[in-house]
Amino acid sequence: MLKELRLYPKYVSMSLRSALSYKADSIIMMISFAVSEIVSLATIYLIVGTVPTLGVWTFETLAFLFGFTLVPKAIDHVFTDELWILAYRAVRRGDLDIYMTRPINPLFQYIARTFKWDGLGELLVGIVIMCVFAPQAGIAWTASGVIGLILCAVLGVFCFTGIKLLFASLAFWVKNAGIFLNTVYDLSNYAKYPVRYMGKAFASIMFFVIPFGLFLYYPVECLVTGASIWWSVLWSAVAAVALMTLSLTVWHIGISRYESAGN
Amino acid sequence: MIELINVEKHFKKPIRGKGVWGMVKTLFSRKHVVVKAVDGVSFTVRDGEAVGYIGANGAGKSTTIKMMSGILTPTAGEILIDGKHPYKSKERNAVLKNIGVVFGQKTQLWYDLPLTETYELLRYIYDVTEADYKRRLAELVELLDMKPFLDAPVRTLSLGQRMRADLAAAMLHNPKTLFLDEPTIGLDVLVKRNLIEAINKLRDEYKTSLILTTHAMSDIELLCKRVIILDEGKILFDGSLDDVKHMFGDKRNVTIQTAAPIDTAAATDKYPIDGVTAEGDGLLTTFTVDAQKLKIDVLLDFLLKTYDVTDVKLSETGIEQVVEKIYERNKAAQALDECGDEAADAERDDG
Amino acid sequence: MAKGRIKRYLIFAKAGFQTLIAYRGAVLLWFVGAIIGATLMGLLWWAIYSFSESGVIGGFDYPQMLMYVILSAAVFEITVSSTMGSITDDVRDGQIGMRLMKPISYRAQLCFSNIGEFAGRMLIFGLPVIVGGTLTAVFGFGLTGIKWYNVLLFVPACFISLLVNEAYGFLFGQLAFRTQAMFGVHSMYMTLSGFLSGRMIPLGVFPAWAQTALYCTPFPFMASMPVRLFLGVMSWTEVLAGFAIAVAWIIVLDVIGWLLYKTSVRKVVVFGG
Repeated sequence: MLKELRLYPKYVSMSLRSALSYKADSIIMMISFAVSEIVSLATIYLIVGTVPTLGVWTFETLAFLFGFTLVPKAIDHVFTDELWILAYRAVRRGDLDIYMTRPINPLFQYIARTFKWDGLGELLVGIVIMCVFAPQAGIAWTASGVIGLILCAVLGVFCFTGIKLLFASLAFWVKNAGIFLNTVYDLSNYAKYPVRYMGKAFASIMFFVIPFGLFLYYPVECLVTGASIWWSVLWSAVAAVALMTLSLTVWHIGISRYESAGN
Repeated sequence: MIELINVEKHFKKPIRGKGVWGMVKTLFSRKHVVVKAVDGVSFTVRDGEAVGYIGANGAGKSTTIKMMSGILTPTAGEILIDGKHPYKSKERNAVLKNIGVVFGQKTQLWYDLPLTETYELLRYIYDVTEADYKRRLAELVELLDMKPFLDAPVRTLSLGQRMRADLAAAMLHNPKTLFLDEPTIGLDVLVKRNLIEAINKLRDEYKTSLILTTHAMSDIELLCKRVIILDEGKILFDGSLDDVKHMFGDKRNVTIQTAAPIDTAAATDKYPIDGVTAEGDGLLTTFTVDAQKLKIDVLLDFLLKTYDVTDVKLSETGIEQVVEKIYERNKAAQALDECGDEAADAERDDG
Repeated sequence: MAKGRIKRYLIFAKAGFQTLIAYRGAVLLWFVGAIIGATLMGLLWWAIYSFSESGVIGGFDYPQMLMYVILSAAVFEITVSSTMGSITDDVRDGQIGMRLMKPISYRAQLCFSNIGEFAGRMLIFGLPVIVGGTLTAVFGFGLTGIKWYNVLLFVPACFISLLVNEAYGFLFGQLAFRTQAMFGVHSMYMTLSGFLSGRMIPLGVFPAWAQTALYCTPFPFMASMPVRLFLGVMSWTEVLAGFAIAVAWIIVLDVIGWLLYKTSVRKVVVFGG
């Protein structure tokens, strides 16, 4: 573990220097993220505009929620983007071979090799949106609330990574793991809406099955309704531990039955 | 020392149904066929030995090498590298520190960065001290003649340069054993020759054990004294290269193209020729000879003088032909045994 | 001679159809994803409608909105075009030279294989989802106003939608000759076209000025128009005018795409494919 931590900066620097050859690509990707975030914000604005009130939610509150959902998503994106390739083709192509012949953790090597700096743009947009709408979101700001929210964001990163690793690891069993991951990942886009009003069944799924609602929506709901955010921190921590344990277990089972390619 | 004891590797292939419904069923069904890619393989490699592990495509040679280098877990049997199992999570790292692996079809080099960047990373991964790393890199650069492309991004290297660079990457931490999986695939003759020479130089210098898979017999000749021939997951032959040649002859094919069909009797009467085949309306004639009994240049000289030759091609017998011959030999031996049994039976009847 | 040419076009359409059928496993999984997406949008609107006083949003009551969500997801899946992806792959893998040498223009090859895929998508996804979705909306939620002739007209409207999509794909696909960042270009196009065509949310909830502006662009023909046609909320003059304007737009987009393509091909010649 210590060795991996020492190696990580080395990987980041190599990844960044590799990416220098594709600067234009990264910039176009960043613009594309920005466009998609503006469109999301506009969608929220238009939807909220169709009704006089939406319970405790106003456009400003929902915009703040949207900004918050972007933060853990973007951080996870920066660190573990390679998992998409694991899900779509790395297992089938036998890409893991070279990592498995070296005396450090293959999962670490695999994830560390890509540091997706264009995701930092997404992170920045998320933080800017939060800052812009924080004063108008109808939240009584306290130091405890801010600290709690930051903790939730950090725990949210682990939750995101756990869900991604879990479904990407399905690639050891099924051919189309990428599509499964994509479908599940898309669910995270609905955590920016008032999940609780969207029916009991859906809310339960978003809280307890694939808990995007628990670690993305619930912290902001706590702040908006004036409930204690520390419940939300606790639940995010539980979700983070559970998801990481589960996904690492599934990864380990998967890698032990890895079949490489061409046999 | 490397020991393989009755190693087996099975792959489960799901039985795919037809149609949309069949596909849905495949997702949930447990039905599958078991393919035995490696089927009861045992052998031992001593320290410093060089072994050529050959077989046709799909014979199971890559699967074996992947089990020895920690990528795949055997279904049955045991693999010990200096007494440790490469596929057990607790023993993995100890084994992996002492081996180097090169895949002909994959690279471990960072695509967009100069070679030295990958080497530097490997130095950290394998805990090589700075002094050792510098000395060794200098030696490898010298031995493998890598100075001209040391600072170019990997994506700009030719396949031959990349293979040498990958070799150096696998040797940086001074492994006891080097595994090469199809290192010559896709290389043209001259580049292949250079690479083989480089591997030999490395072995002379560092006394590394070598296990090399290939489907080309000629690769092995210059690298290994010992050959293991694999077919359908089973070992067909394990012994010295000389034995293979002795048993099956060092067969070469000489093919000539002529303007008109030729009468081959002139050649077959004069020289010990094992076989003649004609193709392409008799314009392409192949003479198969044993290089131990008849020098190729003598035959070639004769052919060029006797016939109106427009083109010449020399080739060796491929692994497929050798495998076929081993099977033929085994079958013949079996038939002989059965004959003997019948003869014995007949005698008994008489008596 | 004309007959031989049509035959050649049909070969590409058939190949497109067969490719789609060959990958039906992955295609079906994408469809399941689309159905989940439509369900979630349906739930979101359900939540919004529960706060609405009039029960009408953007001109739709809830059953209509539900049908809108299902149909716009269906239209998207049926009319998605592989053109941009194909151009990207052909340029990257150097196949473009080969494709240019075929006896049919590159443009026609791409277009006709899309038409084949369209037929396949209509068959294995469109039909079941439209029938299932309509039955759900009519009998489960009391949707009214569905007319058989509108349902029939929906098919050519989808075809128009495919052609618009395909023309855009060819136009933006020309960027593949100029940049490697096609993943970003593609996702940007998807986001923008999804928003501006009324696929994500109906154009009826946009401010009036935005609606006026958007109806002057080709985007509504990619989602809004076929779905509103199906729902029976368009007058006959609107329908006829819609078809006419859509065809005009397809011609305009194709001409621009063709002009850009001319300069792209020159690049291929210069770089030697």
